[in-house]
Amino acid sequence: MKIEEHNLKEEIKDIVGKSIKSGISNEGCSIFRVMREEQYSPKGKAVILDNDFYEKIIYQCNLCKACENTITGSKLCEAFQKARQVLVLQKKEIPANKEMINNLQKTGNVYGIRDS
Amino acid sequence: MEITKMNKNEMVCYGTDGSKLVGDVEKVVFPKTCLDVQKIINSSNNIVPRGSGSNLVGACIPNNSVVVDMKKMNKVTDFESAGTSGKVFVEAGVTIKELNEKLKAVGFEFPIFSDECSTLGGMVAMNSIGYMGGYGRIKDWIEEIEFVNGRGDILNISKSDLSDVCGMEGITGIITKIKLRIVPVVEKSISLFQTQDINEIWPIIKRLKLDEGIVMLRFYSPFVSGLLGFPEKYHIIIGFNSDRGRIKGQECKNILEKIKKNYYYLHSKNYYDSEDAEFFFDRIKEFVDFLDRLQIPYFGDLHLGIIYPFFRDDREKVEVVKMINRLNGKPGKYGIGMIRKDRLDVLQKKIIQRVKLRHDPFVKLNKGKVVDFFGVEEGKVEGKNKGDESTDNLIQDRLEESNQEDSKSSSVEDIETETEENKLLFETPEEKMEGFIKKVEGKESEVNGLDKEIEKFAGQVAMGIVEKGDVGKVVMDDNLDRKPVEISKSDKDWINKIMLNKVDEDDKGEDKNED
Repeated sequence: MKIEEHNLKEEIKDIVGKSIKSGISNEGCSIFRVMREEQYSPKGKAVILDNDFYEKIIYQCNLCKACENTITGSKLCEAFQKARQVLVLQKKEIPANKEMINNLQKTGNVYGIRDS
Repeated sequence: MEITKMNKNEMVCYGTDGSKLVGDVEKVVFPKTCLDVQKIINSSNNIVPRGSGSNLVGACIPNNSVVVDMKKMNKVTDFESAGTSGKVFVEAGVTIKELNEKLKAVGFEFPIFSDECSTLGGMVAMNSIGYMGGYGRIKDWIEEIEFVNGRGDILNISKSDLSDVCGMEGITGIITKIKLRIVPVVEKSISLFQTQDINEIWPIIKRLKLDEGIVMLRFYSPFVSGLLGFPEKYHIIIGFNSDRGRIKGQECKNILEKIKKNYYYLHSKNYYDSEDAEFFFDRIKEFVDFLDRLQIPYFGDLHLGIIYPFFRDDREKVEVVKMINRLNGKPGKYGIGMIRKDRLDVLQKKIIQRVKLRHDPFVKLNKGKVVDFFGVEEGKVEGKNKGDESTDNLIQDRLEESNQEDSKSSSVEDIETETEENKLLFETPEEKMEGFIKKVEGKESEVNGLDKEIEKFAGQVAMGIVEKGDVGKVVMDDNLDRKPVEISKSDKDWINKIMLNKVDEDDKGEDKNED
């Protein structure tokens, strides 16, 4: 394992462990509201990460911060972003992710639009 | 019905709930109709129903089980309203937030506001309460339940049989549909009462509890009051379902929002663990004094008599649980699940076991929760499905086994049952009453015996046979088998003389001189 990956995993564990202890509310998550399955919920993803499993499901997050609790100071979205970095290091990118990177390199925007 | 496509790694999220426990998942299924649920029950032997998985006691922890996630049964199927009352039919996977969003559009609401992501099926299974204790438990708001029991029968449970489902934590069947009473949306208001002296609280609470317009009586310790942004004093937050309170509008909403998130405020200070002790009103004071002495933060719902102390470490919790048991406190809100099975008394266990046996004789549903099912080893029921064996015969066998077990256990526990308290636990009400009558009769005969003795000696004193001081002696000695006082011959003659008015003049003279 690369040092970068190891450090990211340690940071993720800290954030996720504290959030699980404090209680994560799934009520605001737009993805969970549509999918209605536990693995898409913020709590589900946090449990998956806490068990050291890095799966592509972490990409199914809008990073909207609706799950972050201002009272307990949990920063789940930060953990999910870091988890995506780990997935890239593990070469577990999704096709859309690769396409976005290509688009950025070619056009400067993620959608690949050249003309307005 | 959908069977999940998730991989094993993703399934770990179904192995947990709000507790610290973790279990293994065999597979996860998402039924969409009542018939799907029936199919699952008829085809599996180890099933764990699951709502939002937000309980704190391990009530939906699987043990290599098929997890039945009810969240995809999320339709509000029907709505009836007649003036100020209404009824709504909902499937078990609808969350309380979703239901209230839909009802708001038609001017109604469901008043048991629990954790907003809780599903209604889960709330019924746990017999939840909201933060407004005046509305009671969810059981009081249910008209009818459709559920599939462990035998695979689809049943419509009416009000009289609700206790077969409510608070059973999914051990008797899987709830699929619920008919609930609803109320029109009313603008709420609150008033605050704060004091430094805790003794001022109790008389006020007694009075406020009688007021039907009050729907919330929350009590906060000084520490928790401080966390919520109030001065560090004891606080009572009084909620009204009208505009009687002093705080209204947005300010009221902000405070109610804080009350909903009590737990998070305490979690932010590393108080992750809590208890939910329910007491009779007169015991609450003693418990609160105890918590204050140990400086444990707490808040409470005084409508229902539930106090929630919060802990940073297990040592504090052990002490508090001991105190709860000493004061006959019971689990109030969180339920029993896997971690609090020891909190049920013998009678409650027996009742739950009987209900479980009636609905789920093959022990398919939520194994290891609430009660350990007596006389049934899990291996015995593996592989048996509906129709393998006559259910009634099986029930009879199980009951016999349980009775045998009871008799065995009672012989082992003879030493324990010697205490008065334990004796009372195992007695039926009739036996208790008989015992009580015997006790009273015994005391009466003792009293009667004593009275007769006193009368007898009083007579003897009057006749001058015994000196007055001796009566006191008799009473103090309390010796009922004492031999009668022997009277000498000269005394007998003297008594006869008195009775026949034949007292000698000399004797009279002696008496006068004595006087």
